[in-house]
Amino acid sequence: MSHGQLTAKKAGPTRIGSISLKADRDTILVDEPIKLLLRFQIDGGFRDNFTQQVWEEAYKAHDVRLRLTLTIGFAKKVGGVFSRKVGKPIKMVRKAKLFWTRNPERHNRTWVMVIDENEAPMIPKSGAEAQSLLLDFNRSFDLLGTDLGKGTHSIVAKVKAKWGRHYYAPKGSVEATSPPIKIVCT
Amino acid sequence: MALLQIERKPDSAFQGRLIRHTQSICPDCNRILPANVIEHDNKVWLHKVCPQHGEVEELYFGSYEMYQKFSTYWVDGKGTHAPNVPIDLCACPMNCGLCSNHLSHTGLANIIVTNRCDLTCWYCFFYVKKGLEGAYVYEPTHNQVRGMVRALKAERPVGGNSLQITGGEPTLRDDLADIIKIIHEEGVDHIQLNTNGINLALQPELATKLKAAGLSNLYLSFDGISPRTNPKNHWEAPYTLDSCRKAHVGVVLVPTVIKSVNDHELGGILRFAQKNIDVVRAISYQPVSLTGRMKKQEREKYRITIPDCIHRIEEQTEGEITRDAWFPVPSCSPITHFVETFTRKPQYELSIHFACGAGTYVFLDEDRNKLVPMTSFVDIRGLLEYLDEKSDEINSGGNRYIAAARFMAKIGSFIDKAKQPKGLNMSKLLVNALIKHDYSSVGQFHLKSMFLGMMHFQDKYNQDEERLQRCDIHYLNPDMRIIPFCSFNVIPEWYRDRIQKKYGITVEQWEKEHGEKLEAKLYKGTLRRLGAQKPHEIMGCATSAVHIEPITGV
Ligand code: SF4
Ligand code: SF4
Repeated sequence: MSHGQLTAKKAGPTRIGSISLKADRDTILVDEPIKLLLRFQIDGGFRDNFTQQVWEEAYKAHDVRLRLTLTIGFAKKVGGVFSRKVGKPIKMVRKAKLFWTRNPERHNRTWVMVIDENEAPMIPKSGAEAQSLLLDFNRSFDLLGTDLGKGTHSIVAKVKAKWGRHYYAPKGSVEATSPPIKIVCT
Repeated sequence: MALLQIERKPDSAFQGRLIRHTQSICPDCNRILPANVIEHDNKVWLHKVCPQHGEVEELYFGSYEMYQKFSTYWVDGKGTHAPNVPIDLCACPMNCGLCSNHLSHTGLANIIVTNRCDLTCWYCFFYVKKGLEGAYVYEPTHNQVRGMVRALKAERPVGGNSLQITGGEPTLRDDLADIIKIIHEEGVDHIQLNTNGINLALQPELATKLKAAGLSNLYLSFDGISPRTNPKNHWEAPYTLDSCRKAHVGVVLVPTVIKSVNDHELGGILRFAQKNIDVVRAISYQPVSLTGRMKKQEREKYRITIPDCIHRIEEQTEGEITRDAWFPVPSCSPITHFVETFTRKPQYELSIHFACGAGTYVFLDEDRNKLVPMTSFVDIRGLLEYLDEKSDEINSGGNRYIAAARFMAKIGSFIDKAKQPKGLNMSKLLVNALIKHDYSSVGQFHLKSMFLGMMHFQDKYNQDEERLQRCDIHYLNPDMRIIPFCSFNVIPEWYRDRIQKKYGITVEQWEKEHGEKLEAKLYKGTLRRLGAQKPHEIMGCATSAVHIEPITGV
């Protein structure tokens, strides 16, 4: 990537939207695992700029690789205001690589490959699918009853997404906390 | 950027799962065709249909799993910013020279210094054959060589610095040392000689002479460890190695791998290299490229791809060199990118397509006499990820010295010191190379290790223009064009043959000018015959070689 002169096309703020947390059960035994399903999406400026038109410009500036670092942690509410971490936060990286495509069906030459946190490469069929593969998150996590301890808990997911400076976004990060869910551990 | 689209709709009548669309050519008429890269039976195939000559489905990559892993390293390069063929419409492989759409600068430049050869291998199309209509001897002059090297050095943003002298058989030129000197004078640091090694076996002093002129290493054709698999230089190769050993010229062994012919000896070749590790620096396995018109059945008999070779090596070394040890060539990109962001200067990069080539480093554990792949003591993936992260930090305004200091503090965590071969300090070596740009210790690294590489040159059946557009092995030509290997040799009627005709002379003219017959320099098999008569004596200078079978009717 060239330095200095690159700026995002649109300056709208980026945010984490539609965050939700669900559990596969509301009651578990202390020696059991529980599955938590976390969903969220990265919206706003970053998403709006991650389009074929902007990739074309970014490619010309040889800004061809993007790393999106996601840190996901869980916490239980303690008292009204405080929370305590449950388990270790998990760090994941999603990547996007812009490339010169020879797909004869496309009118434009720059396209994208998205590599998810499991290192699975995917070539999206449309711009909207590319945004979704990179910026939508829908994944389950296992927590152990022993991580929670006995009692009734109010659990939240804390999410942070971070990226470097690119043609389609200035360097930045966004954070969000999911609405709490109740889990009873006996 | 625009693409010449013969037809916008790729054919959809294929079996299997679509991975991506690309373009290819018809093996019959060279017409550019839309093509699909598809998966079935856990393998990757290239599928295309010529409206005139019909459908072709060709094995592209022998393992879907490995294809997926390799594709995560796909990164387009900086390209070359001084094209010789300025053109807007991209119509690979029609405008090579390089044109404005090419995506890699030259990684290795080839100069053909002669198309004469002292062997007449049945499968080779590279040498001039007497009696053939339109046979031309092509031998560029010193001035032409100088001009071609200047074209290489003029590439931007990174001038070429690695060159292979090739042929025919380059040692047939009496002025080879002068040619090497010219290339060296023009500022090329790495000069390698692609040879069958016979003349170096017959004249040991030649290696010393070429080394003094500036030769870096030999690229020695070596197809197997038995006379049957390696009729070319089975008896001569040990002598060639000895000449190079004495002259301190490193050797890269280059087997062309053909299924059902020599694919059972890939491990054996590695063991041969291991026994000669003092002089053999690398092996470059080359899965065969099928030239000429060939029926599907015949292609299936010979076709082998990179994953197949990697699997064979794993089997034939009893798991010493596992499939996980191999990485695609563009996996070097995070290293280049880090050095580039740290130094703020464009660096030489290997940005070929992930399906073109692969490699790994192996170290000799002298106590156990085993080869240890670098992946067994370095967390390569973790290290590359970390370098990417630091480059991102610097690119986003972070302090590069702080990033470098963090890298130095962290590097040890990627290396398992207990498993690291004795005497090797990998952390120090990496810090020296990446931060201090001191490559002196890399020499020491090479002495204890071997690079294992693989490159699958394309042919008309499996040609993927997406790969070609990213090619970094190029040919330098007297008309100043720089032509990707897989255009130059895959469509010789457009490139190689035309150039050699234009800048060559007829065989008759050559014979008249040189006062000798073309066939006068053909190798008469001196060492081979000596080997058959006195097998023990011939082994004298090759005690480090593996068991050499007596000749059995070759
Ligand atoms: S292979 Fe490269 S040089 Fe040849 S036409 Fe394609 S982009 Fe141009
Ligand atoms: S020579 Fe052929 S196989 Fe090698 S990088 Fe170029 S296109 Fe790929």
